[in-house]
Amino acid sequence: MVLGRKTSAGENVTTEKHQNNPLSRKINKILETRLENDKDTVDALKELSTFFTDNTLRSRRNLRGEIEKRSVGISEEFVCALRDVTEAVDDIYKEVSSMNEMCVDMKQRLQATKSETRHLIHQTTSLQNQSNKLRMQEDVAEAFVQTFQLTSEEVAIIKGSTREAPITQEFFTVLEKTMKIRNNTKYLLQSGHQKTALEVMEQMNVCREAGLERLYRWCQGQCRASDPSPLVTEALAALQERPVLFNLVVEEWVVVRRGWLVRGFLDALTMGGPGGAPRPIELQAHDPQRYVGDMLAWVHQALPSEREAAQALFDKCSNIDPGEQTRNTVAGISESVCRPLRTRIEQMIVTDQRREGGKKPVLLYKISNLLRFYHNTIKQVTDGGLLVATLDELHQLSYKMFISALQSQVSQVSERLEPPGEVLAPTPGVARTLALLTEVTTAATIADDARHDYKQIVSCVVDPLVNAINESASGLGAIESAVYLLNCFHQLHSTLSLLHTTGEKLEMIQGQIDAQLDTLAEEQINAVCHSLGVASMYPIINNPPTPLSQHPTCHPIAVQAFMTKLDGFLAAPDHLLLPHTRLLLSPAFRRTLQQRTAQALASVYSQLYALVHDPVHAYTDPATLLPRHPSTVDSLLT
Amino acid sequence: MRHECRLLYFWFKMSAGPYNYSYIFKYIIIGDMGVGKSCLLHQFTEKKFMADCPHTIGVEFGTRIIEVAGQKIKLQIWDTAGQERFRAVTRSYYRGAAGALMVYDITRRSTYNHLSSWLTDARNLTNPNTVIFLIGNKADLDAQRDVTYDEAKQFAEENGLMFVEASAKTGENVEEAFLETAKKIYQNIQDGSLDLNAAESGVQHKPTQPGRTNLSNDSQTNRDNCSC
Repeated sequence: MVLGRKTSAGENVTTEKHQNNPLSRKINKILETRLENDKDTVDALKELSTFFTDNTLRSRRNLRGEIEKRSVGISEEFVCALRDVTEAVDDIYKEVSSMNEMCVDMKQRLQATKSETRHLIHQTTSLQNQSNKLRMQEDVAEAFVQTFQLTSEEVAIIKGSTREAPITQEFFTVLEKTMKIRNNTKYLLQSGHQKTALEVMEQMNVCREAGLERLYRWCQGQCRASDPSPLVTEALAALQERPVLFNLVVEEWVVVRRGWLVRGFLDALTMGGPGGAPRPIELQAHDPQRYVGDMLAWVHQALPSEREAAQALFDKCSNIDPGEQTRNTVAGISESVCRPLRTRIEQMIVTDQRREGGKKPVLLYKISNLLRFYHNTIKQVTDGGLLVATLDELHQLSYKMFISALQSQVSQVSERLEPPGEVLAPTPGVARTLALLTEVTTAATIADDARHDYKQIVSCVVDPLVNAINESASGLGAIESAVYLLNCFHQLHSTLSLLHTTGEKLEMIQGQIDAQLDTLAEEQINAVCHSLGVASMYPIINNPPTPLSQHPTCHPIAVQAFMTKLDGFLAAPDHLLLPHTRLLLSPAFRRTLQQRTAQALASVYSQLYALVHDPVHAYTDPATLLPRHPSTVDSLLT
Repeated sequence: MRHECRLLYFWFKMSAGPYNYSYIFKYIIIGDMGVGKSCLLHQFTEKKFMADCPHTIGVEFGTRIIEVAGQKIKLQIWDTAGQERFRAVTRSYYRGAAGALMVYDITRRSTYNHLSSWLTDARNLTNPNTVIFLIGNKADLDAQRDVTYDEAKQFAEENGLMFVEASAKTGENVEEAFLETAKKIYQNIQDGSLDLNAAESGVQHKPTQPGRTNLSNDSQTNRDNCSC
């Protein structure tokens, strides 16, 4: 309040004394002070209002003290608080210091450790390098082992855990690998590792040797098994490089199968099929052709299976010719049936020899042809071998037996050839012999090349027969003999001409026929001429004296008599022919004879006619004497 | 016997052997000359028609592997000459045939008329289990037909034969004839009427042991229970 009063007084002064007065300026300043805007002042006042509650004098007087007291209190409080702070800061300082110390310590220790481990690190690094190097070496070594060595399992596969361990597909894979390794050693050699290369090669050789040895033993076993493993094919391909072992296996195969084949053959011979159907082949032994045929057919039918088995066996062999090897193997296997086959067939051939009856050459020939047929057929399968040779021998033997049987039979018949009968027909012996020939030649049905035999067969039959016929005809008169021979030759000729390939013999027989025909024709012409009375004229008209009419034999009366007889002959030409010519069996021969006779007569007539009609010969009435013109006679005769 | 047979059979089946089939069946083809036996065989083995087929000399041979009920079977077929002159040879090939294909020519009645004599031969010379199949060949020449299907069918039924008309030229029914025969044989094996152990049953387990015989040969199967 007081202050406010003073201020108002002061204002007045200021205004008056202008601004020069510092007091006024001060006052002005105070007046201009905006207390509400001064925050400090406001705060101070607020604070003041908290303890200055009573505006009393006393309190006013004490205010200063009060304020100071309060100020001291605050300061004390501050000091107190600051002390705490100081203490705290001190603590912090202490801790930081100790930390620092520790850090320094640690740093020192680290430093020490670092210096200590440097050596270690160095060592580690070098070790690591070494390890890398070793790892690489290991890789190389592993690669080497893989390329040039067998694993223990592989070795076990090759060598087999036991003696009887079976061969598996892996075996061949490993075997193949040993081969590859052996081939690969050349790279080792090229790269200068001679010693290693040789060692590897040696190892592989040992391994392969053991493997092949084992494979060989296994194959031997498989050969004996009724159902060989499919691996046998591979095994044989592998064994090729050891020809000795290969051949031993093939030999074993052949031996085992030989046994089976011959057992099967004997079973078929003696036991037949299930329950006896088909019947055992030996039951057919009474029918030699059937017996021999059945045996050979059985063998023939067994061969394709053998061939196929052998083909499968050699399928993968590349060093040999599988075709040839197969043929040889089949030939080898088929050897086993040779003995039983040979004894039985030989027995058939020989037994048959003793058998009576006319059939035996035919039967032998049939058997011989069967043997030839199967010889050719089986030769196509095995291309030689003992079986083929056996069949060939048996064929030769049977053929020889056949020829000798044929010869003996023909000679038997020929020696006892019946004398010709009155009809002059071929005797039954001739017919039988020719029937035999036909039967023999038609028996060769199955052999296409049988015609080659015909020449020999025909010679065997025909030559003795012709001799026998000629001999038997020797007791006859000329005409009878000629007729008989012609009849026989006619039959011979017609039989042979059916055989086509008997040209030479046919020519020979034709020659005989011609000769006999000539003989017969001459006889006939003579006979006719005699009976016509022209026979005596004939020599004269060939060389006529002049005049002919004066010659006693050609006297007109004789000529007339001839003419009369000729007329009779023309009316019935058969009447004057030789009676024996009617016995000729061949109409062709009879016709030939007739023609020749007619020709001879006609020529005689025409000669006589010319002479009679020739005035030189002084026949009085030639036209009445020989009224017919030669051409008429000729046409009438023929 | 039956039991033993089965056992053996099983054993055989277990081991595959070096051959890619389980059985061999032996066939024979019979019939008059010129009915097309060789052409049928050629059509079956080569799947081709042989136009100018020469006459067979004696016996010829062909094979083919077929499959019946999942089993590989090798057919070993013996084609015989029809000409009379070879009869002495061809007769020996009947024995041990598992199947006989009897062929006639539908355009030539005479070939059909001779069937009964062929059948007699087949019955006499084969074993009772042999499956006989009648084939009327040249079915492509229907215009020149001389034997009706029905009468041949009747003949087949009367004689218990299987029958089909086929053409070696077109190949029609050729496969069927060979396959049906094989099926029938296989069936006979399955029901045990065909004794595999016996020699010359016409069936082999692969060509290992030709005609191996088991000594216990009994089961006399009569003709009735193997009727084809």
